[in-house]
Amino acid sequence: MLVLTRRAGQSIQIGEDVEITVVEVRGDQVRLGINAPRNVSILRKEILEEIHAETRQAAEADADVLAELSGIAGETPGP
Amino acid sequence: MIVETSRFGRVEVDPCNVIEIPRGLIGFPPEQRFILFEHKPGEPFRWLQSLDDPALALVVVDPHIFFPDYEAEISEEEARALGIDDPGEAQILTTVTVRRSMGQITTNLLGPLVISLRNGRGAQLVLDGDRYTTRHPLPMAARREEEPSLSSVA
Repeated sequence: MLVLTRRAGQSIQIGEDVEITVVEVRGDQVRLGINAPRNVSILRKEILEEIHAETRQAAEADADVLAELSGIAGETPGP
Repeated sequence: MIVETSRFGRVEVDPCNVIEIPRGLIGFPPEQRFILFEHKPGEPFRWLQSLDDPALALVVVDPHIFFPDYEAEISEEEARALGIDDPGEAQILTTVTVRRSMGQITTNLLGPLVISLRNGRGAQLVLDGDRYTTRHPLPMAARREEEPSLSSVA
């Protein structure tokens, strides 16, 4: 991993299109400003990991699960 | 075509109904193809079965059935990549997780699947903001537990 030291107000340019600016440093928190093309997806890593974990958990369902769920579905009012 | 699945054995699927997820589900391999199975006609829960990994299958649901106000915002770029020009051309599905030990059934409203009804191309999104989480209890499941006490009050 490349590690750079930056101060508030300083930036890092990644490739031609992505610029990351340190907006503010306060205690153990850093506020970052990101300029990037709209097609570049910018996500907080922990949210991505949370969704991955939940999707993996959902993928552990066995074949009997839908039979259990159908009882609930039966009580569902129409959309 | 016939596909092998670890839960349902060999299953015949119509190639027209194949769903392609070029980037894959989040944290899963890319270039995966899936098919939706109905459990019983008219039921909201369906299986999303991978055609490339026999062991990969998830229960999915149209979240609007349980959460009528649910909104999944898709970026213009993403919509274009999937070939979706109009919200009516998109099918939204969310994964369902059953934790038997906790008696809990939840759906992931933060990371919905969006599938083009026109070409079967789809993606798993990550929604902005903190309105939704990965574990929304299905309201019907909650109501069922509450019913006995409600009737005793009446």
